[in-house]
Amino acid sequence: MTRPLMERIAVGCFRAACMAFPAGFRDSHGAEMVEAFARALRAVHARHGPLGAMSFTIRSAADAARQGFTERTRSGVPRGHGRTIHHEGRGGMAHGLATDVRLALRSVRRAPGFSVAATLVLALGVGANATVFSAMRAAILTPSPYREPDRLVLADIMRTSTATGEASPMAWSYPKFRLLSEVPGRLIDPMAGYAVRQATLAEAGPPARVNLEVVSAGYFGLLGMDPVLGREFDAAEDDPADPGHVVVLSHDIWRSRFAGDPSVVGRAIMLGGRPMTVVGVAPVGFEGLTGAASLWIPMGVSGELISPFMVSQAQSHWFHVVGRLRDGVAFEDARDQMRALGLAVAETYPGSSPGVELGGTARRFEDVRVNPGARAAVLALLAAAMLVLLVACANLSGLLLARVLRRAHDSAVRVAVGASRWRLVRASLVESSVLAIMGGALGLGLATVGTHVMALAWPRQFLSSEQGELQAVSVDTLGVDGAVLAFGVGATLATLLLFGVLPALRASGAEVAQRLKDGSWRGRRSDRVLGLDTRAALVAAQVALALTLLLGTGLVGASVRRLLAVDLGFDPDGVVTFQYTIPRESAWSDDPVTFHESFLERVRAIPGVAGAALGVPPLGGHWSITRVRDIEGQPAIALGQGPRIGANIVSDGYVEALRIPLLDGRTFDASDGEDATPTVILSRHAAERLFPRGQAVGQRIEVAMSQDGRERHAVVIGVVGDPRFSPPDREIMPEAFYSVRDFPITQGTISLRAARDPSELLPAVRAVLRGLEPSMPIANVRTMDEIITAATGDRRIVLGLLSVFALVTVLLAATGTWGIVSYAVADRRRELGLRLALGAGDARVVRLVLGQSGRYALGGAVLGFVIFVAGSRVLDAFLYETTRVDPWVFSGGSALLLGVVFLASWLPARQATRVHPVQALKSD
Amino acid sequence: MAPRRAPDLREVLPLSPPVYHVLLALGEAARHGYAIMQAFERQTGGEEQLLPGTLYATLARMVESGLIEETEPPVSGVDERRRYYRVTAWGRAVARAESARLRRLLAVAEAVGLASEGT
Repeated sequence: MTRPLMERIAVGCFRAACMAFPAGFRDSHGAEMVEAFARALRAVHARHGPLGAMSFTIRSAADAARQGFTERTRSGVPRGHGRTIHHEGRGGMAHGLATDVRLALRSVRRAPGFSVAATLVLALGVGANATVFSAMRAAILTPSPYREPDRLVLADIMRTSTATGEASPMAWSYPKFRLLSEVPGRLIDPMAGYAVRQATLAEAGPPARVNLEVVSAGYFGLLGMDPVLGREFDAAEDDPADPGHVVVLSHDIWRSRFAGDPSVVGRAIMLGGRPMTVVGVAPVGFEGLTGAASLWIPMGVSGELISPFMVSQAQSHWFHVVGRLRDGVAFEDARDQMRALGLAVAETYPGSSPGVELGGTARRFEDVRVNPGARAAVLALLAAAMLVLLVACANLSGLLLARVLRRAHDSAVRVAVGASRWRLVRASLVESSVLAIMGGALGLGLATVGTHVMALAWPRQFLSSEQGELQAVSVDTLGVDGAVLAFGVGATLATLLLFGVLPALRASGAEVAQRLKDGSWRGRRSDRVLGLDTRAALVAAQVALALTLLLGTGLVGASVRRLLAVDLGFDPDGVVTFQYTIPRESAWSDDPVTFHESFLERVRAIPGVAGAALGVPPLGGHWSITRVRDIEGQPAIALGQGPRIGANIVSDGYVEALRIPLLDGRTFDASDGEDATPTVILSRHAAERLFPRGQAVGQRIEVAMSQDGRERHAVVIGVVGDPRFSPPDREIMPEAFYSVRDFPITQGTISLRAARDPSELLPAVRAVLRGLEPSMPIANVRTMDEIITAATGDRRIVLGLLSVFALVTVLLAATGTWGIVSYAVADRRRELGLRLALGAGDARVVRLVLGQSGRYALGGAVLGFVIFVAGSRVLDAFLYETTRVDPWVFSGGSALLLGVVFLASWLPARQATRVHPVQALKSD
Repeated sequence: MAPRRAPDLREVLPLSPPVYHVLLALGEAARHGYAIMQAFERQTGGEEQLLPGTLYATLARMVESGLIEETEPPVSGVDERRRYYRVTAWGRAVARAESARLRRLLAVAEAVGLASEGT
């Protein structure tokens, strides 16, 4: 562990312990106290090394917690004039408790090995839980920051297929939304549309492609996110007939690009090649409902700035609509009204897609916001973290129990001289509490680091809702705060009850006095609490819980392995992708194909570039998903009923650059062009689907794809393998590739294959782009590794955390078993010594010990299977081509765990045979 | 801090070790919290540590009881987050009384042969 990380954990622990102080005290002294601690820690670390630093941290945290609680009880009581410097009161009860605490602290110091072990075990349990809890809070529990989020709804167009009855919400077009917003007496009022687009910002710095939200007037006020400076758009500015050239800046870009200058309001900035007047600055942290916006423009002006279709075409559906329920209106009524209004809108603008009926609906904003994937992941992880905590409890119980029994003689003496049983229970509980406080504080320290790591590892796309382009969770909300702290303290207290009570009961066992008399307790075979063989129960519980977690991890691991082994249909090695958009104001926008070709030609000449082509790389998402409309020579296809097919627009060299295998025919070359017949390349899946009798090359097909309104037949010139454009856990789609010369798009997504580190090539690529068109930035640079990670993201996160948890529990189970068996062996030393003296061989004694712990472990394993089968449903969302009862995972997992447990019992069993028989008999 | 009427010294003594040490550390010069921790370590020959929780709780109580008070940093331009403390006249009186008490105790210890380390 590096020093800064260790220091951060230590400071986190100390900070957590300081929460014991009252808030007022923390406000005035907290920061300074933490700083003093950090400086002292560094000094201690320099002088006494990491162990000294750890001990200093534990002592400081315990001290701060103690002082903090004292401060709390003190501050409530009015104090006499000038009389404050007194030792704590010495009442009877308090005196006893203070003594218990002192004794407990002393025993913590006297047995540093035990204390460190117990603290670490507990810290792991609490840390895992607090980390996952903070994720759960961010992903599920935290309400959105908007005003009265439970009154927010999404108003949608509902698209229903007449053939299948399948219904799904769909985005709005501008004319339809205008019609809807003019309806009087709406129950959802106000309403505002929003969608993410991009534009080039050429102001206060180098030109950059920025994300902006195109929104309708009233968007900010509806959400309760009024600009902190200036104002938002008014209805007049939102009118496409005479739009306002106005923009609202995000707080972030205002600070970074405009140095937080308030006079920016009223100034004109160059956006998308046009001067736009800044009218406002959004509140801190608000990046729109999509969580992606650096600035906002009114919908009215999007027609000029981005594409005229955006405001003119009733069939161009591109944005979502958020609204607020009017006061006193029930959601169900509003939804019913939206259904009716949706039908009315559809009648006014009849669709061009037969086989599809459009209507309307509404969804609660909070329901849509949480990504079901995130919910499933967090619940699975929470279950796993609970298992870690339970194993930690069992482990600690074992540790403390062994201690209590070792001290049975002391206890017996104390009872004999008149200590009440309650005193013994209390002393034992106090000792557990001291350990719990230390472990809890360290656990919260671990959680601060854990949430940091999680925020880094959590893929951004995973945090967004799949629907409505909503951002679900802001990574910034991950962290340890009051609620996480309260959860951590709660988890610690629960642990305390679980692991403290058993030894406490044992400590007061009725037979202690008896033991004092005859000293015979060492000969007992087992110790029973509530009629259970405690040791057997503790070993079995740890094995059962650890096995449950190990099996879960194994299944998710097998799924991820199978996912990564899926044939992607191309060679992802060294592929990197990025985008550029030829601005409308550029001279190139009239002839994008020449631009793309010149750009590619120069990029291919850069040393280290093994291939480059225009076209979205596989796994990067489709350019478009559409349907086949006609296949020449086959029966006519009913409108809208053709097979679904992915449509991709690519340049020459695409198939070669991505190393997609060519199965038949040829790929694109200079002979494919605007004046020749349009050409298309099919994937194997598409060829087999459309031409089941074979020989696709030479046939003609038409797919529904509009580019400037053109739709036409294309001749199949080649068949390639099956590159996957959707994530690998989805089914393979049929794919069609069209030449960019037939579909001259201005937005270029480039797939580039690098023969060396792609980051070294990007400066040269940028230089080429600048050489052609100075104002054009490249955007969305992603390596194929990143794309694959994102495609398997939630599973990987879950797998990563599960692996850590599983490793921790297996280690805990192993050390726990080792401790309990060691203790049992020590306990039976006299008996084993006797056996050895009577001629039993070493092997026999080892077998005896192993046989006993083996029975416990096997019992635990069986219990583990049962728990797993009962509870593994939480993992369903993460399994891929893996059933919940996978024989390989089951046999491997249990073999691994039982092996580890066997080893953990074998070591102390070996130890038993090393005892000289006579010595063993003499001892005690 | 409003001026206080000095209460009876007997109500305050004996001082708890942290309080006495803080008075000793601030007797030399006005200091901030971390500097008091360092002074404490020097005073005890590095044998003992004053932990930050105890220190700041003690400082708050001592300010409240008028033994010490917050003061301007001795040099301007130092870190503004840190509070500096100095001993009040009352604090000096209490420290002297405690020292006298300890001296009397030490005299007794010497008389009965318990003042030096070892046998």
